[in-house]
Amino acid sequence: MYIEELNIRCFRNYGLARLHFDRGINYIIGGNAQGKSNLIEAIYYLSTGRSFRTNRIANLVKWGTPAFQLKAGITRGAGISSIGLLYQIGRTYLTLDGRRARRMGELLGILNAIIFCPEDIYIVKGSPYIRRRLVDIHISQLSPLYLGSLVRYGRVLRQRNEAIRRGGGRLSHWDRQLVENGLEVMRARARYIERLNALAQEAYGKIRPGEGLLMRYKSLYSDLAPGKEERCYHDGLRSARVHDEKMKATAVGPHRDDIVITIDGRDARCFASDGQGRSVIIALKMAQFMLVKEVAGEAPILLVDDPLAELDAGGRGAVLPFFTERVQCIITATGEDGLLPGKRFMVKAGSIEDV
Amino acid sequence: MEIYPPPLRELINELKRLPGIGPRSAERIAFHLLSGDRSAARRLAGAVVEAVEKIGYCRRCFNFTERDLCSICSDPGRNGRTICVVEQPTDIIAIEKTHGFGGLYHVISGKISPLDGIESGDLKIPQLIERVKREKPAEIILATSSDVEGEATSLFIARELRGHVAKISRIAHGIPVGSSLNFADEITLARAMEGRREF
Ligand SMILES: [Zn+2]
Repeated sequence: MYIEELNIRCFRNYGLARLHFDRGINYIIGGNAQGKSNLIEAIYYLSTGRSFRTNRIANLVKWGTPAFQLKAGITRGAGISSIGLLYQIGRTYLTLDGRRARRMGELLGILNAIIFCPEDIYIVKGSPYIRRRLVDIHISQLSPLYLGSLVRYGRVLRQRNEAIRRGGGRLSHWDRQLVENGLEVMRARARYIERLNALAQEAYGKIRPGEGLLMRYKSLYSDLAPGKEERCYHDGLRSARVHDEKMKATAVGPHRDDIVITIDGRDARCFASDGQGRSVIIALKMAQFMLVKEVAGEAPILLVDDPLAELDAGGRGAVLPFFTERVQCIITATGEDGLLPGKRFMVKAGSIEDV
Repeated sequence: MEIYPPPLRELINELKRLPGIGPRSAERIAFHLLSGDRSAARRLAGAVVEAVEKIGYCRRCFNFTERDLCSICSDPGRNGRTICVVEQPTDIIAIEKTHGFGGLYHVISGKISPLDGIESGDLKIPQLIERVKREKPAEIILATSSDVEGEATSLFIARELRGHVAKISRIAHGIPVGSSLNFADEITLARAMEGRREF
């Protein structure tokens, strides 16, 4: 899959900009704070409907303007070939092939991208929320129904918590939906993490031979007796009821899930070295890359906003296979040093020049 | 806003409160009402006052009506053995358009949503339970919306009515998740009524 063209209006430090990408390697070259990462962010936003740098979409609007707009022309095996996003007065409008979409969720799975960015380190070192979010975005891209279950689960959870805060009483009319959607979410996560783990283990073994990586789904799900998941989940909610009322929140469920990453049996969150941490991230991204390729039938595009030079020699070798395959890469760089042949865009203070 | 004389400002503010009307539209409507022939604006004001004073709720089903009983409840051709529970009077209109339902309705005036401060007691659910005990219908059809609040409201009512009515069913939602009946087209809604499942 390829992104052929990107049109930008009033996004971050850009006024108007248009980029035509090559189907191979594209470098975005510029000094610090000139807007290199903003271009990666724009493409990632078109891919996921989210930013990897902020949760406040209003932050993406160019200072002093009321709205931003992004448009991408893409080529893929079948389906949608243009995505348009308009953000205006707190609302986002999505158009696919020129037609207004009903839900933002329809965006997912159209422009598949794998990103490398400095924030990735939090996948290893950060809170469970970050790992859940990563997994959620990725499963949603692979299976659009997942997002529906996830959104409904979140909504039921907030309603249930509010009902508890207001003094509880009967909760069964929330619990049935909590269990239904919660199970959907956990089943999908369990399946996904199992496949991801197998692929990531293999990739990690190539980067750091002799070390063993394991990604394990830590969840209520593993406590539910197979075949009786629904009953067990309901029982779990019932036995936590007193605790829930004391804490004014729901204690059990997929909103407490984590993905525990260990290297040779030791928790990577506490014990991984910088080099190990980076290798975990590369292995994880390679695994994601292969999963998307398998499910979508096409390689995703690769967005790299992380100085590759920082990766240790082993890590750098492991990223290269991406480049030898026919994969479109969009990579930020501060200078020409060590770059491969490919298209170059020079970025300076929000203006872009093709070279 | 200070540039507007207070009565105009007031009018714009009131218009802004209406569903689907933003600040820009509120201004446009206000200017439209005041420019040119003002008799149209007077007729609108009169219609609003008249509707507010004359339209009340049906004492049986809480549909809008000018009289004690609404036109559906007072129609002898309707089948009183089936009661369809809806959130709003507009849902009745949506279902009536399908011509696929000949029973009566009960409007509960919203859905359970703790986040909006709405509990079952704030809705016409106690009145529904009383009515079912009194009228002893054969079937209750729950046609609340398909979002989590609509689903929870249906579940709540189903539990409350268990043992008081032989058959409780929920309309099948071919209706997109999260949407209200208003936005479902007639064919989907007709299918939803036919394909209802028992609770
Ligand atoms: Zn009536």
